[in-house]
Amino acid sequence: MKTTIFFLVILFQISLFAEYRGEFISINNVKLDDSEFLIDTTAEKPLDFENAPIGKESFDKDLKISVNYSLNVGTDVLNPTFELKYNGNRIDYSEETSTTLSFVLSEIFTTVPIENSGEFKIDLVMSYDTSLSQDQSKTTSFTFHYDTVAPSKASNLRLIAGDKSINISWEYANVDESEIDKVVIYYKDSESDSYTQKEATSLSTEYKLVDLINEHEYSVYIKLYDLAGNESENSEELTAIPVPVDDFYKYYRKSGGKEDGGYCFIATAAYGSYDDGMVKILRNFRDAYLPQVFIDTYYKYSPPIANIIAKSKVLSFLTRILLEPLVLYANFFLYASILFKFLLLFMLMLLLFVKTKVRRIYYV
Amino acid sequence: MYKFIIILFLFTTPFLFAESEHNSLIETHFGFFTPSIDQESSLTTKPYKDIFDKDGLRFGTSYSFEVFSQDYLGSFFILSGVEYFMVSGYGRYENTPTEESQDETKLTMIPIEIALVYNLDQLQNLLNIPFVFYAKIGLNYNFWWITNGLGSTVDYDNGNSHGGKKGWHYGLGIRFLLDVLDSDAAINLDNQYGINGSYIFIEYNSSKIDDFGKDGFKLGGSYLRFGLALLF
Repeated sequence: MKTTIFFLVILFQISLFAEYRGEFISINNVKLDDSEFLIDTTAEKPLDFENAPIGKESFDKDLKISVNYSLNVGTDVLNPTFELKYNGNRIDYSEETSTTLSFVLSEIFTTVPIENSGEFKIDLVMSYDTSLSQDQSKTTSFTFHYDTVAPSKASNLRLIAGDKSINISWEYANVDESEIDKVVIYYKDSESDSYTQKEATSLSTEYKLVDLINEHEYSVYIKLYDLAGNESENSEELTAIPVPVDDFYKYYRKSGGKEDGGYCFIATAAYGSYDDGMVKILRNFRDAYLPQVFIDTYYKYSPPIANIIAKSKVLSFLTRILLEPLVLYANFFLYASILFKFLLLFMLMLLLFVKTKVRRIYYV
Repeated sequence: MYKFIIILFLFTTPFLFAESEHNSLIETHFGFFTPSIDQESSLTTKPYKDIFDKDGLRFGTSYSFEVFSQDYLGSFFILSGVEYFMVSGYGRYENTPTEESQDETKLTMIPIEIALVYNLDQLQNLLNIPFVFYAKIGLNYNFWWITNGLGSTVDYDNGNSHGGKKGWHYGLGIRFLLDVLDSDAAINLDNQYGINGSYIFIEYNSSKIDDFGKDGFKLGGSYLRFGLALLF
């Protein structure tokens, strides 16, 4: 009984860290059920590696996995020690700190050959004594998935040159598309020595390279990466030369069209001065309440609009009339108190409610 | 952004409280439209047909309020509305203009309109025949812009590939009162939401959008609008 009570107060918090090329992939909040010593399935993410298998590169570069633990136990848990096991055999690990055990992943497979893909289980064993018994132990296991098979290279690469751009398309041949994590496009100008990389989203089959230079030849190939980080061979490498393209406006103008654009609108032109009180209200309202995308568009397109309004007294007059209700609303939103705004909203809701009731009575 | 939503709500709220004796109409509609761009006299080819060669989807919404109504004469409404139109095609290589490139180019318009609408609603009011004929005439201002394969507007030869055109339009249409199909539902709609009548309609709409005869784009044209209208 006493032993049981002691175990009930045991709280392990063990975190696993995979140290890979100087980066930590942390698996936090792995909690153990203190009585059964099993992985708490309600933990935030018990094992991240299950979703992202360990790839070939990790084995080649001697991925190091560190097991960090902290231990809070009752005073009757004596001499707790920890060790790591694979297939029942003790793993050669190092003690990085008093609460960290580390091992090199590839070293545990020296006797048991690893398959192309699959899973392996690492046991974390705690040995301890109590005042009532000795040589007690509890074990918890962590399962790692791995995949060392590189995906097949992309096939049927096609390039179509556009205006300062190249459309790239490809196909997945003999590839389980669900395992593709990303597609990386490598391209370079004929005058350049190094390739630039662009990343396409997984499962996409096309990508558009933009901001290229017309009349320059570009070489392009792509690589596929699976979820384990395994990379395919390079696809075939093709070349394309972006060339100028006429969009509809340019084509229309070259066909003799005389449209040269321009607008008509804007308060400043309508009221005659940037410092006019009405303009100031509208400006403040715009800056305080309208979304940034609206303001950006406004700044982009407003100058030519204002020019035309300013030149026409009739347009200025009509624009002022159209803007009056907006000025009224802007004035209200800018200068009415919060209490007054809510009061107005409440009154409007009340009016709607009363109106609905009146209609019901009328029809009854 | 939440402020913007609140503003939109309060802007539109007054429409909910229009008095029943001053009826208002909200409608939404769509149609397939081709602007008369190729009819510009200075053109040596037909650029719209060459690049797009199809109708674009045009849809919109409008709000109108009653300014005059008499059982034997019908009613007049003032209408304001906004629409959206877009058509896309592929650009042409500069050096070989007969060859189509893979760069998508788009013509987009946002027409706004204000119009006077006459409703010949005596059939409905006096004879309970669920049809309303109507005619409208009004002014337009069409914002437009053209984008290239990169989604950008690119100016050319001192011309801007975006702008606005003024013009006018007229429309002739017929509305069918849906209330006759399910009068109970119609009464419920009125009780719950204050909707006095719901209609489907078809309208022949014709516009001339060319800055009243000036050079440049002719963004008008004729098309059929199909839609739904709610009378408050």
